Amino acid sequence: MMTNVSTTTAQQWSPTGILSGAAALICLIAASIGFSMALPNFGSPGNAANILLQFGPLALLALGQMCVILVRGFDISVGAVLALSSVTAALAIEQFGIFGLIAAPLTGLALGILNGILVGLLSIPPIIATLGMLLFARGLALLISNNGQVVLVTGAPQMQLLDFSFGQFLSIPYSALLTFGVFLAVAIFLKRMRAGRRLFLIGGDPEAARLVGTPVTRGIVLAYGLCGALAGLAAVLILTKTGAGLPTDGVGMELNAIAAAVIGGSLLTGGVASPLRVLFAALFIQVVQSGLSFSAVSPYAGEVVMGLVILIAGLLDQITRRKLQTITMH
Amino acid sequence: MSFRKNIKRGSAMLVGLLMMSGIANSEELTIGLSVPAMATGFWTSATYGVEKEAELAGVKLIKLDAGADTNVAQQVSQIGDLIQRRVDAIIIGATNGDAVKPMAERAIAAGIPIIGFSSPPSTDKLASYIGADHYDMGRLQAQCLGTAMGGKGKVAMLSFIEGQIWAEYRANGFKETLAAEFPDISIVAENRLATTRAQGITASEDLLQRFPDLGGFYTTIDELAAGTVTAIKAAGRDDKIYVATSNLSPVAQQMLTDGDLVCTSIQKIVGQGRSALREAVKAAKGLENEPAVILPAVLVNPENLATTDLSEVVAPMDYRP
Repeated sequence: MMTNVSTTTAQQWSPTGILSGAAALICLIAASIGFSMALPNFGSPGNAANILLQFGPLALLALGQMCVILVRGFDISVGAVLALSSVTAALAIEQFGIFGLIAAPLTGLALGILNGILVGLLSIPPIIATLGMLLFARGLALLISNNGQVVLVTGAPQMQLLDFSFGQFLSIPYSALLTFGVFLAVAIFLKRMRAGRRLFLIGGDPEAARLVGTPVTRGIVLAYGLCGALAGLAAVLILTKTGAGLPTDGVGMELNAIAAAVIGGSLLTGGVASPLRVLFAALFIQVVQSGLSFSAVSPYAGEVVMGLVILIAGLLDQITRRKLQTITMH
Repeated sequence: MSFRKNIKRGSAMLVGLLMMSGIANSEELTIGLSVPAMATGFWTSATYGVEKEAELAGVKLIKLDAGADTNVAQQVSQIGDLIQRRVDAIIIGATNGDAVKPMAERAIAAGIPIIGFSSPPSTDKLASYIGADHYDMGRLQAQCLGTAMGGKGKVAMLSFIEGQIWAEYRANGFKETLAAEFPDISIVAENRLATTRAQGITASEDLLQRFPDLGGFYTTIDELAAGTVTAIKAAGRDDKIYVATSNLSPVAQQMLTDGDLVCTSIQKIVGQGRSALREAVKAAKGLENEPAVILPAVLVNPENLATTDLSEVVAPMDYRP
């Protein structure tokens, strides 16, 4: 069993393994240079900080998707879970002060674990389980928030939230530092800790994993729990930006997150995951979105461009993968 | 004290302007527009007005669409982009005034003036606010309905849900005008639940059962009026009951043509867009702004529908933002 795990891990860190995920990094660099040359002020340090300030929620959601895609699943409830988490945290902050913020990741974790039980223990297909959770979480968010009105954080806690959002260390927004820290933690968990490395085994071949005595169900629950908790953390970032719980927000975010995870090298067939590549992919998507905001194109045309960009990045990922496979085979 | 501050600020601004004037003269102004949902009727027409006026004024316009009234976080990010893009002014129709406020104030702190449009960010530091006179829309409904009813009888109101400030203004305009100008007309019921056509039908059916001698309906929006007209026709009462409304969708135009509506009061949406851009340009140039530009309402009835100039009201059918 240990040999299996270390092979998988070794593959992840081999030169081909790193290269095969270069698509996201190439796209990120190309988009950054291209927009900086074409658009005034795009390449400024201020805008770099702005993009870092914005990319956190998408990056954390994508990281969560990466974890569940790793075990052959996916989670379409993250947008709704994010909305509900932001509302519960806003309500908790009104009650208990700024420490009520902890309610967001806790809400996410609880719903994520529930997703994991539905998928892992009760064998409900992920699309059904997480669709049910999507509707449940969205409905609950609307119910506890006075029919979908935003839940405004008031007084001193609101200032604390906004101070965090606009605060910087060495020109890097706090929210980006938090995001980087979470990515590092998840990377260490997946690559260095036994429970994390097991997820690769489960995703690679669940039957084989079961045969050698790996706790598959526990692994799946863990992956979904992580995904939910990360959605809750994304809610924290949104709370700090707007100072409000947003029961109706996050619609469609799950799809952007899945796209970022896949551009970031995750295989929907499971068994492959790289936090670093997902980080590049999320940054890439945010750079393109920011670039579209900077240029004066029609918003509708912008959506068409965004769709094409995701398709091209996915294609590029496939091509680099195939090329490298051929090289390794010879 | 504040005078000295103003002088200080003014002179600092002057120095800044002098230093930049070389650049500013050669570069065109760039105005940002951030709206909740460009694909909806109101914002399509509003964007059209802003864009046409921008072409006239020769300024560059960056249009950003949050995609839905619910996408608060997306709109906040987009305003962040506009700040970094260093646009000269931003026109904001907020997804949610309270939640967009922090980022709007950040823009203002960065020296970018903000024009609030229809649903403004909840800050008192706006350079200007552009909106419609919703009270006047209610007033015009009261006058046309009161006249149609011959100054006497019973009226029921479908006043939309609570917490929508524009709906409150419209309802108040209606009530106060009716009380002042038609003392013999009484308001017997007010529904605060219906917002859609289907709900409008149910609410009107109930009201018709409860008050068989109703003479007229006030409806906040034309979708509710469509529901009311359906209920009245189903009850076979369409010869005795008058329906007034606000807004002018194709459905409302049809109802006017068919004589189902006695009138509709409308806002000049394209005109508001034009005013917003003009105020944004003023603010960008450091000129003095109108604190608020409130465009008057217009009354449309079956008689003047064909001759009313709608160019300041709705965007042409083939316009795409």
